[in-house]
Amino acid sequence: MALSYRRPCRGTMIKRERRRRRPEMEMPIPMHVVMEEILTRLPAKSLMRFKCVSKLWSSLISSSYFRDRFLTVPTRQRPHLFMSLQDVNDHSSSVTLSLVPEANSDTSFVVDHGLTIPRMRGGYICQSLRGFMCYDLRKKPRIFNPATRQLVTLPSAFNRSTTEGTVSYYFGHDPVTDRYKVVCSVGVRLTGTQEVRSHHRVFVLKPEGGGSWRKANPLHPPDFIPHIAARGGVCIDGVIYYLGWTADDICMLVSFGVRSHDFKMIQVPRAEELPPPAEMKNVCLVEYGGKVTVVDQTSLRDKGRIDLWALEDAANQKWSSERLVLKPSQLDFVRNIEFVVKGTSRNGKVFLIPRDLVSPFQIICYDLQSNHMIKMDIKGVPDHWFSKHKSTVEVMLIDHSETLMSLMNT
Amino acid sequence: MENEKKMITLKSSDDVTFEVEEAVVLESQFLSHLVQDCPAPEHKIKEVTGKILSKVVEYCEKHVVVVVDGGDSSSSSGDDLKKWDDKFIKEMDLSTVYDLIAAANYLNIQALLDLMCQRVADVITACKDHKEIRETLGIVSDYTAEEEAEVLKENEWAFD
Repeated sequence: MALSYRRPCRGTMIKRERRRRRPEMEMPIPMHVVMEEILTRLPAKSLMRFKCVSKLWSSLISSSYFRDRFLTVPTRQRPHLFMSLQDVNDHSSSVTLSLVPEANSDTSFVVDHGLTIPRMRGGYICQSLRGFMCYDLRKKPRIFNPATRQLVTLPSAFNRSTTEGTVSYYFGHDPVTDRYKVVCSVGVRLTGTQEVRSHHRVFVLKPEGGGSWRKANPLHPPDFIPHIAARGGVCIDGVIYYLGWTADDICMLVSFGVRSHDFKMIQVPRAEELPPPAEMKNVCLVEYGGKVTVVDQTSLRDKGRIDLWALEDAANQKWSSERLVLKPSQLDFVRNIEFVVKGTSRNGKVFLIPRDLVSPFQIICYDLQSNHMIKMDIKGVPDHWFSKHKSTVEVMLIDHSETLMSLMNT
Repeated sequence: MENEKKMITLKSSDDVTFEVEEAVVLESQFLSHLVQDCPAPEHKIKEVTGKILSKVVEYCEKHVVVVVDGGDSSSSSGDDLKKWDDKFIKEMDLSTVYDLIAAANYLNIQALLDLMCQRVADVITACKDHKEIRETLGIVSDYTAEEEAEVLKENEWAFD
């Protein structure tokens, strides 16, 4: 048969087993066709099964050549969601649920208990990056690969007991050196003077494992102003972006070059009629149309309005703005619930996630291009979560290629 | 009918001949170069058998770009073509699929290659475990019992 591979020494061709009384010509299927055209079409789960088939296939699937190919093939997977549920009174009962689109429905996701990972227990889901899910739990940044189920936990960047302030982690990848790095920002506002101080550290993930937190390059104004960082960043083309608030409550876009380790800051513009300062809960960052974009939802609930500011040219601090006004029929979607804007899908849709765990739990998928919202039902969350007094919810969409990449040996 | 459609004869390795319109041949990158470079009325394709070539011709005839007079192309044609592809592939055993992959790769017909490779991928995806994959694809394991136990343990989750 075509995929049988009796002896590796046959070179790069897969030879079909000769069948008795088969008069046809035996033209082998070239190896690159099998690797690039067939195996890249398999979901990662099937590939993991395939790894158990033979040593030879395991080594082919594990090769860096194949991993790279796998990552560049447009995903045929449907997107899935991760939902982190935390019981504020009892952290040990926190869970992270995995959800997949419900069969025959475009408007609902259902919890897949088979995909839920017992090792993952809640936490703040920060980013989805190249098939990895990044979250922090008990002050430690963690990177999970849903395709291979590898979980990498990094040490805490700062001493927990002595560090005060807001700790935020951001994940980045540099396409040139193919390196993954994590940035930690700790910001604190001093009670007496209202002065803001911030510290930054960087962790370089090495394939062989190990590594440690290093202080970021010395930072000085005007390129760098101490700030309190908001959680949730994005990484585009080797640059990590996040939002930070200065002592004067000015909202800044902070960028960090994953390769250069350089920080830069640009002030985020604001619609004229909106009163400064922008509240942290009303602004967030998404990647939209390949650009880092600030979504300001200050006027969403009363006026049905969202302001988008896309960074066109970082060097010259050029932004482009767009104002979206919801269709009157869709105003009710957002009037009574507070949302967090989180994550964009490949095709320019942002997701609005309710800030609180309410029943029935629905998230909104907002197509920015057509200015149309769709409510998505979230099904299968165990009932007891809705009856708890204090539970928090985090949802993150993973809509990128599955990756076979292993961040480091664990 | 002013322009008589140009016909080309393809001959398989086992000397089965197929007379097809030139447009059909152009679906294959390999054949379109061959026809342009050497304008003979008959081309022998030594690498492909009659059985497989008949399938290739059937596929290309269905998929040849039809320009309807007035440029009107029916919107359902995409759906119809997909239905036809599904039926085409459903009736085929895996051994024929493999032969078609090799032929489509050789003749450089990307759409046919995509269709066939997806079929194999679907078959593999449907396999519940490594044993079923081995059986379906005729792969011989080179793991020792210990190695197999270890790799199974590592990838345990994939067998839910």
